[in-house]
Amino acid sequence: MKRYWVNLGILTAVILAGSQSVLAHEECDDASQANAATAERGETVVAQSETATSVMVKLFQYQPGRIQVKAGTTVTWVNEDEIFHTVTLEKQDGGFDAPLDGKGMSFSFTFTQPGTYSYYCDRHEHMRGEIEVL
Amino acid sequence: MKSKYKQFTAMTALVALLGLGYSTNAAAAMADHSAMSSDLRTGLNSLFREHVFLAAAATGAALGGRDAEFKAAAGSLDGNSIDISKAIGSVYGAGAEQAFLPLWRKHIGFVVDYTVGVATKDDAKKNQAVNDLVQYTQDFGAFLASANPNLPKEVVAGLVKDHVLTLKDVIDAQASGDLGKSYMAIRTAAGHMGMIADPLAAAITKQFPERFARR
Repeated sequence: MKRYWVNLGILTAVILAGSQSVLAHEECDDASQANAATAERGETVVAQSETATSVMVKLFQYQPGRIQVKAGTTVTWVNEDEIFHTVTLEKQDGGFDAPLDGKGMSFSFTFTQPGTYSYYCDRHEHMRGEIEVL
Repeated sequence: MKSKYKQFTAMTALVALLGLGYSTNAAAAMADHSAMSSDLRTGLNSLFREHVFLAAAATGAALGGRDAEFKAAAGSLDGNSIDISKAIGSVYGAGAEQAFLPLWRKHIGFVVDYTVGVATKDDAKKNQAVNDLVQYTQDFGAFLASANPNLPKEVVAGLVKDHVLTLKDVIDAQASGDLGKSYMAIRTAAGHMGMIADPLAAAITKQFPERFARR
């Protein structure tokens, strides 16, 4: 019996060791992509307009995955997937847990304080995004 | 019993080696953007069938307490997951590949949970795993529907649910110790993967006719 737990624990470890958090890429061949900018993970950041910007939630990614905005900018997330996603920001970072319950649902938040804000989907833990507020 | 175990081990190793070969060829074929639609269909079928064979090898080894075999099968199963995600990425880009892999691995985790429930005779754990897998079918359906407008979410979810149920039958048969029943269930589960691979290939061909023109 103990061996079952060891074996299946190993399989779980293999899965978890190989898993990575995902910051969305925009390198998608899908012609329907609205945002033409390309963001390589950890290398470039997409600068957005001064007062409002949007993040598309598509293919279980936040697109773009990293954006840079000025303080006072309102960011709107729009769900393009036919599934329940969330946009969740930890409490110490200002905190919200916004449901995007299906395709077309959206959520907006105005970032007033400079800093780097990492958020994620509470239902799909590998979906991660980041906003740098200047 | 010993000779039967040796036969099973040898067969499992052969399946794994064949699977590795298929995996390499299938992934390579799909990475070539000039691949014809028949190559696409063949490649997807190979990868998905390999998934079933390797998953069955892993669950059978786990239920039988065969540690070394389990480690080998689990490692190869994850290699297959990576190949499948690369195949998705070859069509839909690096972002889709990186989003797909953890999603695909998630369902393997739920299969692990089910196997643990079977091994420990824990009905609550089994039922939770089944519920998680049913919910997963919605996630998987949504992913492919988002990637390809020719793949309705509920249709894909239904096909994946059938895959889950056939894999459940494999695990239940393996736990019963009935080898004949186990291998029949594995054949059924592997055969079913064509019902996912074929429409997926057709949908991708329809979406990108210039890349997957028919011979």
